[in-house]
Amino acid sequence: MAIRLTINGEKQVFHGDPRTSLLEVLRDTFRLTGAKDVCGEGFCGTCNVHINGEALPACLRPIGMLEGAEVTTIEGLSPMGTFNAVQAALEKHDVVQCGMCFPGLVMTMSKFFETNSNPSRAEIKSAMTGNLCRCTGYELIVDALASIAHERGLVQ
Amino acid sequence: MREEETGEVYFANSLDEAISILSDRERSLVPIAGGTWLMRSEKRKEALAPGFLALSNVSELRGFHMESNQISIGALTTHHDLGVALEGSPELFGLADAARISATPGVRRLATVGGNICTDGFHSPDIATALLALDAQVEVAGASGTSSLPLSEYLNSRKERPLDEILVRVMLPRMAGATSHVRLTMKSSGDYPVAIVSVGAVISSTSVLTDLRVAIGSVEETPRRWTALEDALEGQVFRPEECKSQARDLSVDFNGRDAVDAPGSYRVSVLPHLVQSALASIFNQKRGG
Amino acid sequence: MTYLQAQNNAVMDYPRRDASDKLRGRTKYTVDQGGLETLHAVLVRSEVASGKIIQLDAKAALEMPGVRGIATSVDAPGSHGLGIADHPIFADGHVRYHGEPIAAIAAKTRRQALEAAKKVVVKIEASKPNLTMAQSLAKDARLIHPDWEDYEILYDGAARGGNIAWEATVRRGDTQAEFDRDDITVVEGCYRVGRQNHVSFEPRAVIASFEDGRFHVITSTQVPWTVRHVTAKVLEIPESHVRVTVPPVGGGFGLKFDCSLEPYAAILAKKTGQPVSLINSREEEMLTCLCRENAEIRLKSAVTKDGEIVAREGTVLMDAGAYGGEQVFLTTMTAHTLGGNYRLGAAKIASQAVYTNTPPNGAFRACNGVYNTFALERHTDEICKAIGMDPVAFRKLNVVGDGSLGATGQVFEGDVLGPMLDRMDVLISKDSPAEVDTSEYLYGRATTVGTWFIFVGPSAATVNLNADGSATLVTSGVEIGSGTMMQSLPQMVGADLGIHPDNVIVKTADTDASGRDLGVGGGRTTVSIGAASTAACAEVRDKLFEIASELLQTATNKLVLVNGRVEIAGMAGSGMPIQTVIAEAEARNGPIAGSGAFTAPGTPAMPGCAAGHFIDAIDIPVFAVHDCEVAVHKETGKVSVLSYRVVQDVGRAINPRAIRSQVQGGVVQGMGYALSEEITINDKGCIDQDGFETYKIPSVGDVLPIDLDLFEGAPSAGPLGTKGAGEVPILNVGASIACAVANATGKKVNELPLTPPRVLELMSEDSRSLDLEHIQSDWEKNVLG
Repeated sequence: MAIRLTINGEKQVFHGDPRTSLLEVLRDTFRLTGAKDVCGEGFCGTCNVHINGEALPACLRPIGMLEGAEVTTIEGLSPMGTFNAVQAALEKHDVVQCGMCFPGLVMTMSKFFETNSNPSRAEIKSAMTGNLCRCTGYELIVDALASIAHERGLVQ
Repeated sequence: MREEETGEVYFANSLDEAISILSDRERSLVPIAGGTWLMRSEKRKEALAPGFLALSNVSELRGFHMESNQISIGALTTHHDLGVALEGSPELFGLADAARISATPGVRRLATVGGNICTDGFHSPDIATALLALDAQVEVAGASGTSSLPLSEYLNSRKERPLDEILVRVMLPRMAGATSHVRLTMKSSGDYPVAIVSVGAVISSTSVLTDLRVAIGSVEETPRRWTALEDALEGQVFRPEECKSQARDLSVDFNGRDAVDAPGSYRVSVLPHLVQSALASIFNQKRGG
Repeated sequence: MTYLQAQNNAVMDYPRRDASDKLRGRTKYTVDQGGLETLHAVLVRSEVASGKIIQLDAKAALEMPGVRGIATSVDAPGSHGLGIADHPIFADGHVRYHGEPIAAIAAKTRRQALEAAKKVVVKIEASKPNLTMAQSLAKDARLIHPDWEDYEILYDGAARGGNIAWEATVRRGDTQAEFDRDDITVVEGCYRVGRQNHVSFEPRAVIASFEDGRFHVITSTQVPWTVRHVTAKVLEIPESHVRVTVPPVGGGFGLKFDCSLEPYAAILAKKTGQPVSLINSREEEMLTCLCRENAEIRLKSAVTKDGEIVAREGTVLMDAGAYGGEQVFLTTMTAHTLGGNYRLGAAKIASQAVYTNTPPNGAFRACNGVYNTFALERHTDEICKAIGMDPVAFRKLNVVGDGSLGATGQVFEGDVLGPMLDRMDVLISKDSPAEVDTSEYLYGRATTVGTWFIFVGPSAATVNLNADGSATLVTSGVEIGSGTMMQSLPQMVGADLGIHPDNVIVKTADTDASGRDLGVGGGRTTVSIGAASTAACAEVRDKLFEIASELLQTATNKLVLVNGRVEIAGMAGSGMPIQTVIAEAEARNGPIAGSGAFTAPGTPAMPGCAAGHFIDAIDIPVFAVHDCEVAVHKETGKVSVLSYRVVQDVGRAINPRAIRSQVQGGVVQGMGYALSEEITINDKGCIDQDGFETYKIPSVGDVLPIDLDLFEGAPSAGPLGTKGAGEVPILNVGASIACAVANATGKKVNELPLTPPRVLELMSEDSRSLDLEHIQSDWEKNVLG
């Protein structure tokens, strides 16, 4: 079965079992390994990608249901040499550790900041509940993200 | 990528088509909506269905309508969309909370109301429990036509229902009063609850509880109403400690489900507190409003 | 450059250089590598916990589509282990735990390998497993290793016997005489903790190939040299035939401090002639993780009414699982944790690694320290209760200080814990106590102390000075996420050579390029690899100064390296760019390089009082003081942490921001251990928690910002006075939360984790104190030798 979809702005065709998860297709077929396979059940958020504009766990999406979909992965989020506000804040505050959770976190929170440019700390935490991290203990990530609103002058 | 064995994903374009495909046993397709349960089959050591019948193009399963006498929620409505649709409906706080807090944000953008009701292997469904407290009816369609039945009846007959039946929508009667949804998770967030209490009631100016509905989820395999408690509290003045003590006396009603996340006895033992919190939340909404 | 200048120049919040790629998803971890030519392997694992293999037939599997090779125990004749070689990589006729590998299959795709695995015929005659240490230690218990006496001994001196894989004991003084005094109070308690899974987000993973007669193992490991050694040992080939390289590691926390999947992939690579990738599924990681072991502890102390601890006896049972593994080594740590913290009169301490038919355990951040600290601190609070003394006052009176004796008779240097407790007082006084609704919650607070150590041992480093003035640091270091390869090492080398850390290239481990190393763990990278690097820099500096001295007509002791230049001390601009000196050196002698080495300084212990220990005395102790406030929900037993404060001994903080990040992460991992991360083993011997739904690691909603005070200036043999800062933050989190919950509930909190069901049960009226009957109150009855 052939599935046609757009990944990071490029038209792609997948030939194979349509029940295969988008995550497996991204990693194994297209070698886009930014989305990580960590829990495989929608709890960790490390495989979150944008599908038709929504941040979703790629492990739970069968590729066969994505005919015609627009998928953006972490690799397609920001052109080399540029960072979006979320990536820039996380780098500036030096909060990355092992890094496995960050691609999914960046995808989730980039989408969140599109719709909520002036979030409170509690709103940031609430948006992050589906993104687990084993290294950082989260709070410094939240500080970094909270600084985005501050730096935009949206929060006093 | 599966090379030897390839499955099928077929998109039904209408309800009739979906039903007729499901009736065709040869194809043995399994209906899929959000996919958050089916895509985890292998994790549960269950074989992945040989094929999926994608329902996403079936327009009859979509839609959210608030009418004067009832609210209709299409089976494909996601948790996320339901949470958004219910903003500003204080009498549906309970359902809105259930929709906004279940599982994780990513899963809430996929998982549907229909899936939450139909998946009998999932024992902690927030939406189904909240809907029970709202006296929900479900509409199902099959080869023999469309019919509706109480959600509680549907939940209890899930294992025996015809394979070609599709849950179309959920209908809620418009009711007076307020609702609330309380769940106990072992972590603070991003976790399935070990016990759920969803309640609805009318509270009079003298704090008398009437039209009380108490639904309990995750404690047993299937969510259900706690009618003994409803009967005991109906017409009573709301006194938190007394509610709790009544609930404690009646909790022998439940045969708690032992599972890895919590023993059954624990699920039952926290019910009195959760009932009290759920009722207190309604009471506070009323006072606040 | 003087030592003080190097120290000062090294200190900065230097950001990590790998963040950018990690934030773009460009970093290629081991799980992300492997091209089309790579085969994919899976393991066939036992589904029973104990039994004899009566049939193993892989013929049908070999015929399956895509299958290229199958390996079984005949391909890996050797056994490995720490202390004792008791562990074959494939079940060798006997299965000893649920999940034990029996065969490995390589196929074109992972799905094909999984299909083929179903066709392997395995018949096992099951026997009743020993699933608990009590079962394994019972009279007439079945021996899990009937041939234990014939195993190769790799490290001499320990008592062993039956299901006790290893025993480490300390006997200092006459405890019985103290217990017999009539002016003392005897306090006794039992403690029990469960296992903890590391849940490194990158599972254990490897890609092996066979090139020019040697194996190349690309692996997600903390210990490249251990992988080299073990792979060679089980394949019975020379160690020099194995090359190990390590891409960025997606989390380790000790899980990857042992060789695990590498030999299987190596065997299959040689058999098939193709690179072979083997990656554990999350379920395999959950069910066969080399967890922090479950442990059972009995402590007994004799205390005077003034609060002097005149004697202590302790017995610690550590569940090794089916093979001795890391637990054999970790028996050593009991002496230094139970014997740390407080000055003791006489002491008898025993630690036993016990075989059970359960998955083998391993190392995990502050290894056995977390539960021994939990037991010790709870025991200390029970002592305080028994003699009516304030717990903080008791600690201030008794904590080890300058000249105090450790359990094995080592002499501690410097007053550290005492001043740290004072600093905690200051930290606490900055905020008022948290407020709770007392109708719903019980409030509790506790302050605890902890003693841990930096795991030193051999490290090697080479520094190549490049013509452009940059330096390349070659070590066996690995970046596991803690940032040492990205931050402390380039900071130290940069400071030593007077160049910016950006100009220090840090090569990650390649056993063909770098010298031997004990591995990345135990807080040792900054200290051991750092010290070796500093020594290598000293040689480089000497070579530079020898040339520059001539060029500048100045004595070498008047020269300094600063801002990429060799300068005459105190005269900025007087010298020349480092590149000029390098060019001159190259013309005369060739390129400049230096090599350096480091190993354990070897702190003396008291002769004759320790047996079976790998480390008799700790070279670099590290101390921690933690304080927390909790609210315990009366109706659900849920514990909320309201505030958390840490005063941590860091020696010297060369990157305070990076340390803060480690402390926040370590404390949160400890909160998971203390509250939600529970592992249970069912009657089949299989771990119940098979994924993220049931194994509950903290999420963002479960945490709070940690209030941190870095304590600097304690003695340290580490370079620039540093101590590793990443391991110790988890040390006394379980202890602090447990003591606070005990204070809130008034109950004896003797078990971790404090899940809501357990706490609710604890609060119920009929809760009983834990009594571990299989550990005798008479200490001598517990020990073998």
